[in-house]
Amino acid sequence: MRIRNTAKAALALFICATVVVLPAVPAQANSALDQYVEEVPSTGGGQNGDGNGDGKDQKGKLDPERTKELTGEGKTGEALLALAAISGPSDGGSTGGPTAGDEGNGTAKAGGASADAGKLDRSTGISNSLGSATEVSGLNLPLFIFVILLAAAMGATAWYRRARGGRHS
Amino acid sequence: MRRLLSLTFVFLAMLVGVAQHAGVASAAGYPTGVSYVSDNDPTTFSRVAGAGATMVHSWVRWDQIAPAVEPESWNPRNPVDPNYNWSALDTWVTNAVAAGLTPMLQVYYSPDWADRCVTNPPITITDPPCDPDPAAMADFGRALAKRYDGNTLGLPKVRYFQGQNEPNLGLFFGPQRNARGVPVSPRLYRTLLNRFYEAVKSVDSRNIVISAGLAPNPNHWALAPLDFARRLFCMVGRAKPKPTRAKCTVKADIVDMHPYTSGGPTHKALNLDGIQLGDLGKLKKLVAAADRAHRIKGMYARTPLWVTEMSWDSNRPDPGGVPMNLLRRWTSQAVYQAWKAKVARFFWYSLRDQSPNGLPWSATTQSGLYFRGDTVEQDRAKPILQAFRFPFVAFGKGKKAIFVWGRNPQAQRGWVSIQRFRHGRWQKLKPVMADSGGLFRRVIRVPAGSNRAGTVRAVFRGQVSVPFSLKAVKDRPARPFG
Repeated sequence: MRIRNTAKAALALFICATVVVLPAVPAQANSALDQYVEEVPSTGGGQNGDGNGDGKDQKGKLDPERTKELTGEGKTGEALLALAAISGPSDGGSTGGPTAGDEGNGTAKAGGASADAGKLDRSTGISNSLGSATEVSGLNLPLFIFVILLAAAMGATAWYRRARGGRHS
Repeated sequence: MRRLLSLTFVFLAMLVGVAQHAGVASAAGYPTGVSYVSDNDPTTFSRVAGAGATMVHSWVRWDQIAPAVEPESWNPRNPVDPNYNWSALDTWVTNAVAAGLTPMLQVYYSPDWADRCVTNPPITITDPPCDPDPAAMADFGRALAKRYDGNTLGLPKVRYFQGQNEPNLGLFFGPQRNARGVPVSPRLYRTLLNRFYEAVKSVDSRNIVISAGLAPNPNHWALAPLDFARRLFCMVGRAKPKPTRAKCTVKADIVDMHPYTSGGPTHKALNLDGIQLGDLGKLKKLVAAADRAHRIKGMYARTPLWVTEMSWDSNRPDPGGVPMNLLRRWTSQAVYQAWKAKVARFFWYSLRDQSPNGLPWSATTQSGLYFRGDTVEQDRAKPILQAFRFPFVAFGKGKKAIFVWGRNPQAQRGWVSIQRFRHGRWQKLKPVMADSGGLFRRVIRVPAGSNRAGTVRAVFRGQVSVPFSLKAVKDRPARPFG
């Protein structure tokens, strides 16, 4: 019974860690064109507040109309809503976290990806390097790794105890 | 008699005034264009014209035309200053105009010496403009407008100028936010645009300045376009936009949007402040409110909205793109959807597919009207070309009617034959008269219960549109670039 509880706790810990931490990790950017891909906003808020501090508007919520539409789209829509509910970008992703070129946060310029004049450089020449643009929140990554390791350790302990118990019986 | 003459004069003056206020840019018809046409050979421009487009758009690489290091002694306002290198652009403009196209030039990027900050490498890999000096951009804008004023070195006249690209996206403009996470790009871009506007207009007040097109989605690297636009125009409120107390004016004649979608042509952004093709009304409402509040100072009382970029990658060649048959439908429908949202001009991005150059399909654009060959001459037209050239849609309306809309490729007045394919043959429905810009629309009665079956096409002087199925097609997820 105790062994089973430990295994369950390890699994629960892993799932919680994934749900809590993953939304804070921006989508892996393989190319500049990924910047055009839509992220699923939070139903509870978090991203892109209204301009100039107008507190009346809902901040970054999923459009009520879209919520209604998605509800009407059956299972797919509901799944998307559920995803929106758990995967909205954290506040840090939009307001606190380091985003494109923070003012006064200047460092060396990225090694110029100058495209030749005859070619559209919307993506060429920058795609390879943008992979490194994917940023993982400094606070959440170590926590994530710690929780994963803890869950793995707990799982291993449970497995070891179970194996030993089986041998003794 | 004199009184009658003066009354007539007053009446005519009023008519001119009304025309001006109505927005001459959105006069008869619905002109289309092709954006980011970077090749400058005559074949390229003849293909743009052959796509039914009257406008062609290209970047003007400020960082490549201007010297890499600012000379100690030069005149950046002088279009013939020897430190500038305009040769490729001269050819581009000359060939575009020779093909009967109206060129639109977009100042793009900035030389390092004009930037007033440096960008944060992990985010801004492309070395985008980082708070470029508005005075420097104004000098370049003036030189650009002067070079193509129609009186310099025998070069043609250019009227349409755009200041930068997607300033709400870190890929093309920085910084987006300050160290505290507060958006700063709208304010920085406003100053930049205003100075650019004044410089271009100082050369010829009839020149038209277009604000930079906005990227559609908020994300880690981008401000939401509606949020950006509100801040740019010093407005607040999503449902009922109104001016803030701040004293601010944006100088622009046209507002531009790039409403790429995550689905089909009617798709809406999940984010309240995102603007995809199905959301253009939100931006239109904000611009109208900004106009009423005199936040936008341009040549039209009602600032027109343009879409200078829209497309999807096609499958083939991109396996992640939209299947070609569906894309034919979406292409026509996208042109219609923008028109429905009162967009005055619509541009397709772009003429030819991008070369993969060993990169994954998802990292390059295959949204051209032409499959890319080894050379421009070897490019092959995609099936979507005709859908862009002769956009036509048909939807069942009520129980016994069909709504049809289209624009003939010649953009000419005349009768358009509407035909429906049923029972193995094309049957003629009621013809529709196209206006002087080639636009036509009509609700046509058909036998009850038959208006959701079959396909419909339009025929105009031997030109046949892509048949449009009356069967509704559900929206489906699609990445704009595969």
